[in-house]
Amino acid sequence: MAKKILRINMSTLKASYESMPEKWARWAGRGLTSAITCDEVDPLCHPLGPNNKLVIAPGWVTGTPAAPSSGRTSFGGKSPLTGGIKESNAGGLSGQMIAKLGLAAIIVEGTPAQGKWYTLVVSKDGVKFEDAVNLVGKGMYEVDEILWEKYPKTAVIGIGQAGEMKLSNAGISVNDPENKPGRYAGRGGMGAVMGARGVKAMVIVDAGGPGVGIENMDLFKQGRKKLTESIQEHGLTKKGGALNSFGTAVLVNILNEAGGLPTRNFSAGQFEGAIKISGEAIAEVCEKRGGEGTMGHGCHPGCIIKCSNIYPDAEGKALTSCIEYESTWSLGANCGIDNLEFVAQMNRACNDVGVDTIEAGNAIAVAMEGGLLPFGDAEGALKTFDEIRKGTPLGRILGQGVEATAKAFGVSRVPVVKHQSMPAYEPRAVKGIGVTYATTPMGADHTAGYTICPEILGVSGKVDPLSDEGKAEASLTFQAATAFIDSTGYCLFIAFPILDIAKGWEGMAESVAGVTGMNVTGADVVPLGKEILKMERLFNERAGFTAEDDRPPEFMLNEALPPHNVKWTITNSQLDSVFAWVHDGQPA
Amino acid sequence: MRVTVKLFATLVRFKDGTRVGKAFEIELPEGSNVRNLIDVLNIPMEEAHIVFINNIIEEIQSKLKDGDVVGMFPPVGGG
Repeated sequence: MAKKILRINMSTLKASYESMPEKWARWAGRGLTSAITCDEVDPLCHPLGPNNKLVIAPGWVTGTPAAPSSGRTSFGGKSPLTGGIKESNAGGLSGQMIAKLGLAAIIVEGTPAQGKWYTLVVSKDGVKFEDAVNLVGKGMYEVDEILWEKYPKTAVIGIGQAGEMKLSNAGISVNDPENKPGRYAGRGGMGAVMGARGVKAMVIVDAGGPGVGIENMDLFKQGRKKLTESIQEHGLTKKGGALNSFGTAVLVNILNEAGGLPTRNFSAGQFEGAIKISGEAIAEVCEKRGGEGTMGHGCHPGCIIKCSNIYPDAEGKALTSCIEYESTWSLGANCGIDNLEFVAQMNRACNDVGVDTIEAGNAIAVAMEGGLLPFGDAEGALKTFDEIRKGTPLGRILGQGVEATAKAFGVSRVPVVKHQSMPAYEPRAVKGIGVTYATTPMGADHTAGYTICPEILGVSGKVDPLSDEGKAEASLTFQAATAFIDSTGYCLFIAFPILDIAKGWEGMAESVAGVTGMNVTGADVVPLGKEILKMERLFNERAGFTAEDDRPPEFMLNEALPPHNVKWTITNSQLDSVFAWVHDGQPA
Repeated sequence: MRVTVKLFATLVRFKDGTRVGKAFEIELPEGSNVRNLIDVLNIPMEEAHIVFINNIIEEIQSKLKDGDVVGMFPPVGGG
């Protein structure tokens, strides 16, 4: 059965189904959200104004039977944080349910009457526009609970108070199998875009949906088998491997050892308290307290990697899920905080009020540097989330993210590119990821081109993280492959095994070809990814971005980072070479 | 010569009584390399996936010297 586009107009409170137009038929996930954004959103529009849209799309294989670790949902539009195109994707329940309704994408557009908020209930019978007066002002824990009372076992997409206030660091939450918030399309303020449409929550009811059609079942099964085997064989993603045992925060110690763990607002590359906030420490707490606490938790049905965790409180009740590497770093090391209990509580606060943990921790760190509170003040840091929840002037400043906070507190060490703050890898100590931060159309984002694989992890070979050599080329290859994987619906973590095990790479492409009927092989992954990147770069150019926006922050050229005492040394012409092909080597 | 060793993640199980990242000392013959150290610790070669000497990633044939600090990791990842 051919997939449909569901268009929801919040001005008229009407929904309509459209056939998939030929121009978008090749795409899903990120490729589709970016194609629709490019075609339907004016790059010069105000991101919170009536002309922006929220585009939601599951990946190609999402919702198919037992495709491993394939529950991603892409959220796209123009970003209030960066002012450019944004695709932010999340796990949780929504992707598979949207796909099972036969939908390629949901486009939310228009603006309701002033002050009105809605819950959109999307099912096989269409869209119900329910008054969300019962949810307004509430955090996501309560929103998820209330909506499951009426619509149990559904996917809930929602925004916390930050999204209602249309703060630039507002994320979009997706519930997990335990109906807890925490699967966030966090980056770039897409929660504010949802808030600007007057949508507090969306409930996806997949019962009775047509399911996802598979064009070539034999090819799909062949690809699925190869991919599954590669995940199960690779040391990192297999059962009992590091991701399954310690979660993503297993990275804390290795980045610290490499001198690339940004500490106290990017002023050092090592944190003396790293071990206390690492994945190993999280696993120890889960083991000791037991109860609902666990490692090896899956964020969506069908995940075979299971890198998530449920962090328990002292009584063994679930406190927050999940403490990711980026979160324990941003709220921990980067704020000089080595108290895991406070990191866990701040993680919960982020998930409840609805902000991205990376930008939130960075904003607190910048405010610490500006004198709001001292580095290491865990209690003070936790209280800042009450300020956001209440919408105080301080909370609104912090909720705008790092750049606004830096201006408010007179700080010049501002770790951003394209107005979005950097994640947990220091570009001066790990040069390739700095190229990705600088050049990705998304603003500073590690997932956009994860050169950490060869630079630190010994995945897909080994290269010297401190060297400039070959980093521009490596970043482009990773960015292109990522744009493709972000379109499949597979979790990006399949990249670890398939970069090392050739049959996994082939299997990924074959499973996509099997579902869609398109002639896609492993050799097409990078070229198709480049097509997506080109769309996104051209949108950003029309939004006013130039080569000067593809630069790391000034302080990284001036300040040497301990312990290696290194500065940013990759030249601007090397950075400009990454996307020179978009205009055949000519200036934009 | 003596080197200081720190084990992380699943490698902790190869040293009785140690904890994640807790430094301990090992006596090695002069001229030993990383491979010799991994053998002394009875860690399977494929599990000692990333080895740092003084915060720099090194190869298994890299020579050790007195006073080096070695950090060892199994395959890890995330993000």
